[in-house]
Amino acid sequence: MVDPGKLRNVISFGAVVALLVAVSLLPPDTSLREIERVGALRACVPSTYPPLVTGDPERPGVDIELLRAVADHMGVSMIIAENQAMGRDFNPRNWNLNRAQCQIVAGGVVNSAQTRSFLETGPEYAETGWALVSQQALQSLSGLTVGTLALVSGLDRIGLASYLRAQGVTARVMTSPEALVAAIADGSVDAGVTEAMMASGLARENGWAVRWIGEGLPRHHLVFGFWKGDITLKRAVTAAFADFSVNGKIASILEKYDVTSIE
Amino acid sequence: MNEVETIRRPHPFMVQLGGLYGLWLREVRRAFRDRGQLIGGVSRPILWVIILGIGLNPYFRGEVYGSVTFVVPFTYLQFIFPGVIALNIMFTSVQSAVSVIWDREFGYLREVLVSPLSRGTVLLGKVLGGATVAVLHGALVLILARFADVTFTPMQALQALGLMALLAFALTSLGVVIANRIRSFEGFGIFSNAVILPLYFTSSSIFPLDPALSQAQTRVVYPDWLVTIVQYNPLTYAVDSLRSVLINYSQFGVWTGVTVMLVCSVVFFTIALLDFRRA
Repeated sequence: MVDPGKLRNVISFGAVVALLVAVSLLPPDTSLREIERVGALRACVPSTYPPLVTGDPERPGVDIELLRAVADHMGVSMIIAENQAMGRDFNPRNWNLNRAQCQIVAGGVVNSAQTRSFLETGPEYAETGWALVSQQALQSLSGLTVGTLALVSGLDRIGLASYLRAQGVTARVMTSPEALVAAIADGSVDAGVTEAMMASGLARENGWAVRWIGEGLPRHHLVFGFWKGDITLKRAVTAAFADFSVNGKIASILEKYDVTSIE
Repeated sequence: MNEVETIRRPHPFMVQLGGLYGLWLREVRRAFRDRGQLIGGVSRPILWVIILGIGLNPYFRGEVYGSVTFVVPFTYLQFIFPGVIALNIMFTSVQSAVSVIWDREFGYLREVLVSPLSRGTVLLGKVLGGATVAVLHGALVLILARFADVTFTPMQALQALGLMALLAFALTSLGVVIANRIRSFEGFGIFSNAVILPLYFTSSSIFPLDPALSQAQTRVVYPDWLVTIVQYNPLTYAVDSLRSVLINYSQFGVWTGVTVMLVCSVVFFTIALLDFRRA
């Protein structure tokens, strides 16, 4: 025979837990509802950041294809807002992004502490870090001149600069992928250092060598960025990514753009 | 019968342990029966996380419809979440100690104190019972983690529970210290609120001291007296440790909080024990 007093206590405690669980299921913000109301998801991306954003309508890039897949999954259309500053300036404060322009920031956002200080970050889908690209494989950097292209926000620039100094490298800052390719091709720099996906893309296009550099420098994963507090949107994108992992969508997009891990 | 049968007495340590368990169980059972305490345990997180957290969240996210103006590695909801856990523990811990007054009023305490149990065992049983209930109330807040977008691994949850237990032990001991000095229920209620709320509000639970500022800059931006109170408030370091474990953001480091809570636990328990021995 169950003691009625004990049963009442268990029921009371169960009711409290059930109430908290029910409350925790409330939507904490309106970000997803607004997107569904408008019927469109807006994303800010740099004009070009191969292979993530290419500007080519036939092969628009990894991030653009992922964004479209996410929008399809959510049942809304996709609007891409190109932001020139994102490709030129590594300081997010100077990108002048705001909610009115987009709900997602993509095209080279890495999951680092710096990124998380001003954006929520979504699921990770590819590894990145600093990589060295050169005409021939280089064993040592000592005494070389290296072009540095640090477009992507979130990778540790100060750590990279310290590493290059310690290696006795003369660093020359590059402003675009084209400038870096030209400098490596004409020999004005011995090698280039840039974000890993871009480095592997440049190496593949030009038949050059590529490898990770910077022992001790952290590697990060690429993500989509959301405005802080947009939890319902983040959950919807996370759910989409979970489905893409199961159905192989992410793998097929990465394969389409020859995104392979640097050995 | 020629043989003298020897009555096997239990080992004194086992007597103390059995008594400790009995007192602990009594405190836990009583808390389960106290629906008012249970309602408080559920209403506080709902008010603070759901209402205050959601209400202030947009003003702490760096931007609304303008460009990014400041950066913090958390949302306001995430920031306040560990503080609400501490708040729930504080209320429950200190109010658990009201049972000392209750037991004194109805003569139960006298009966317990003349039992073979040592004063230390009696006190430890009451404090552990109160702390267990407080940890349970703190854990109730964790149910809202998904809502606040606070994610943690099972290991982080265990670490958080450990910190919560330490905080609950220190505060229940403090509650007993207060209860030993207050002779009425009414007086205890007023006094405990006069302790709990000021401690909570000045523990950097609901507003951060700007993480981007140095010590010197902080004292320029905020009133000097407020910074001093926050820095001398032991709860600041407990909440900071919880924040470090749950949202991976800390102003002082997780071990500072652990050390402060250990010291507070020892100090408050010692004072409570001295009071009990004098009782």
